Amino acid sequence: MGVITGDMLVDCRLRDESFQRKTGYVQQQDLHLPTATVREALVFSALLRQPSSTPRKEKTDYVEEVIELLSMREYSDAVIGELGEGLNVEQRKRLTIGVELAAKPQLLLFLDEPTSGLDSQTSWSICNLMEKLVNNGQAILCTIHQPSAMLFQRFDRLLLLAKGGRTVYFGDIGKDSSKLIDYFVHNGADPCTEGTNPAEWMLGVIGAAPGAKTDIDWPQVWQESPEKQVIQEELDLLEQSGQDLEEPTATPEDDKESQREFAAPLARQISIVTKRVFQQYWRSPSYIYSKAFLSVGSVRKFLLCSERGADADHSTRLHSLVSAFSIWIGVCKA
Amino acid sequence: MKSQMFGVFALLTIFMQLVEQTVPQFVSQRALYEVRERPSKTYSWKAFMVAQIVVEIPWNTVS
Repeated sequence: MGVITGDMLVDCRLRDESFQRKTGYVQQQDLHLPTATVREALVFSALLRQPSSTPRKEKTDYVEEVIELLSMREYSDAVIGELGEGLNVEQRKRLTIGVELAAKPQLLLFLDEPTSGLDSQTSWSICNLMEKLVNNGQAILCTIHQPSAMLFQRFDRLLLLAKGGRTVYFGDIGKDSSKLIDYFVHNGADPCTEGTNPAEWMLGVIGAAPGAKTDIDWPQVWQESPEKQVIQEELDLLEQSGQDLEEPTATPEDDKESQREFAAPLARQISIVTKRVFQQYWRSPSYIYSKAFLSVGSVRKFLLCSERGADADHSTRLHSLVSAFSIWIGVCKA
Repeated sequence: MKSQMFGVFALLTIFMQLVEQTVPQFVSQRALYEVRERPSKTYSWKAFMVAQIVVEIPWNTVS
């Protein structure tokens, strides 16, 4: 594996504690609390992850906005449910994205293979959704696996990495992947024939596809290419402009708040989380039912043995009480 | 004395059983917390633990 060194800059300043809170990370797996509804899941995320100075009303309004944006109005009050019942796979994916959006990530939304495991139509609609978000001013970084030609062309820029994290290409894809294809052909690759998926062709060219091999050291080619020069200059320029406006634009209070580990104060976290767990128990009643059974059963046993054993000694009674307890709890467990 | 000892023993058995009942619920919630909610700094583990304990109190008092 390769080792990569360098500085990680966010807005020309070194990455700080608040980075984790300022980015949304949409995981590949759709993990949700099965007992919550779509709206509850979003509100939960919004209340806890947006800055605590934002009034509650504003946060819940923002949740409504997110629901609208993700076109989830129809099932916004549906219970999420286990996989296979409740929401379907696409709705889950949308919700996963929505939960991150509800937190209002200031910097970046990071999606880890959002189209994996989805059929082509669903992937397409997820792409539509991402485009909508981009048009609303959200920066999106997305990893992708084996995209179809159609999906591939919907992305603006591509960072292609070879084994060991070495850059092979970083830049615009261009219309019909023209810029990307030009780059590779220009540097000695076989041209991409009509009807070939550029994403697969590109992997074949750099020898990453199974059975393909290449004599050209593509990462090396990239290092020496004029395209890299342009990007490097742009990066330098960005860094330069960052140093020029060294004064932090945020006020100190703002800054302090963003430095804290969690957005909401502990007391509010506790109250919100507790409320959710209560709700979860209430909606998965088998646990409460067994508890109720248990208590009814034991009381009955207890009454039985106290009637019968008016003359029995204390320890016998206690013993039967305990055995009653153990039996009932055993039953509940099963 | 003997029955006192027995009382303590009985209490302990019951307690063990309660723990065993609670754990499955707890584990599934902890999985969700560790994978999704802790990395994104949604809430702290203190809030998580308090909620888990508080929620058990009513049912266990009733029964």
